[in-house]
Amino acid sequence: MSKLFALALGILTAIGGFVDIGDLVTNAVVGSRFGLGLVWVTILGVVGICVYANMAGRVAAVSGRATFEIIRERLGARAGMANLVASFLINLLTMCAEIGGVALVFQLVTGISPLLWIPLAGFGVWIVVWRAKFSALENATGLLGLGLIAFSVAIFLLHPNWGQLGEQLIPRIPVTEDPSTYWYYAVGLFGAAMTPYEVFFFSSGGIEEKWTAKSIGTMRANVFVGFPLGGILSISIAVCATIVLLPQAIAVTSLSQVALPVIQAGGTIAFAFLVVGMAAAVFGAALETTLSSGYTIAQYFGWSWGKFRRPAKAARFHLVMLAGLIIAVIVLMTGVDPIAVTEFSVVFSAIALPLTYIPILIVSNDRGYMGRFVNGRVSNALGIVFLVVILVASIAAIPLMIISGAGQ
Amino acid sequence: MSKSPSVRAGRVFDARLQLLDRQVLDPDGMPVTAVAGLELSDVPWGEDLPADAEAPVVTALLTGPVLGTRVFGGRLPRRDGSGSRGATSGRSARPSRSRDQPTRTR
Repeated sequence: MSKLFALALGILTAIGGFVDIGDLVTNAVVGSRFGLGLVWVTILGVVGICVYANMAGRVAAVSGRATFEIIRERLGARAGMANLVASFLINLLTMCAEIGGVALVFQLVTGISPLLWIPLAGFGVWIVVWRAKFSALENATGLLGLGLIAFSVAIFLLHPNWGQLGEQLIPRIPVTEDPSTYWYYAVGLFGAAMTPYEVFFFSSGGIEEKWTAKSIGTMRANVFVGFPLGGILSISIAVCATIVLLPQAIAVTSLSQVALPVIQAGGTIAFAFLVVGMAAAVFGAALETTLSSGYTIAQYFGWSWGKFRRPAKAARFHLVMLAGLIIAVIVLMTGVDPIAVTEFSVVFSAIALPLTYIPILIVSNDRGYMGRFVNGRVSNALGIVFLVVILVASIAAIPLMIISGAGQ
Repeated sequence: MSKSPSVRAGRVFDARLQLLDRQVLDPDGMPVTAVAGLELSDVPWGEDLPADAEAPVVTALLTGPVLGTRVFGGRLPRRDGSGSRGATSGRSARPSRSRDQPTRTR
């Protein structure tokens, strides 16, 4: 019975923890501008993250080694360092977006400027990362994040014209938008779904929770049930925006537009669920990105790391996280628009995807690490197909950003 | 090649693949650092080993500033006087022989 409970808990936290500020903003923006014409990208991204999270989880469970330890061993000190610098900076950008997102949620509730909430959000993340147990922080944010189901419920309460919605699913570029803008947001949406920190966090989290080869079944259930259901939440955001924002040409400039369809559909009660869900999901992602900043650097340099050690026993790991948080807060306090930071963070995530995913594909085929748990044919076939997609998205991102004027 | 004791013992060990950049654990299993460089015994600088030479022995696992030379190239400044250690200076973790408890890599 307790096994079943653990399994259910894992799946539920995987659902509630799937969505972050990148998914919230990008899906709402895309829904309000392109309708459902980009839903195929989210589906593609969710399948991709399933394929690679499963590989990274298996590597962590079987070899006991986390992603960046392996990246350095396989790529060597120099290429590993280049990868570390790029991955750390892009993770830092995502961290800024998530902490800014926490401030945006508080702005949504209180009406007080995010600038006042940013230092508090940063402090809150630090205190939780410093003091809370790994399982506690993961379960609490994951379960409360289920409040985002308000988006899925709202779709039904809005009584949309289902036929019209169905027709929109066919990918096409609206006449009012430039093709480069369409593809720019396609790359962003793909980056939001496959964000590299999810893999750092997922595999390092496996080691925090002391997975072994026996845990592979549970891990698979989390990935192949939890992530797709989380993906449905993500798509629900786009559907809500398509029903309410698109016809009235409302642009997404803060979280109030993201929440608007839910408020219109379900009033105060739905809004209450939504706020809890958004706060938990974004705060959870802020914790995950902060932990990832510590994981990547500590694993590269071989320092002791992890929430399963007391801060004094993993001092440099905790110091890196604190430094990262301070930088993120300073960046946000310059007054940059957190929504704009989020949009850039998902595109830069797309650029960084190959850095994380190529080493995982290589190591999960290495018998020296994996023994009999190396990739099967299906994993490798899917892995290579997605590698091609990832490379295309990564290479196309910057040219598309320039041509489309960052989606203007 | 076949005269080398390490090969006679039946196991070829690729130091670049299986020692460099590996995690070093302390006797309690706590991560300490990653191997940033290796100090080898008696390898002539810039020339091939004679065919009948004994295989060089790894005398130290290096960590610390020596990592910089592998990332950026070049070599560390020599310590005053003791030129013989040259590029391999840095904090070193001696392998097991000289210790009561072994330092492990994985």
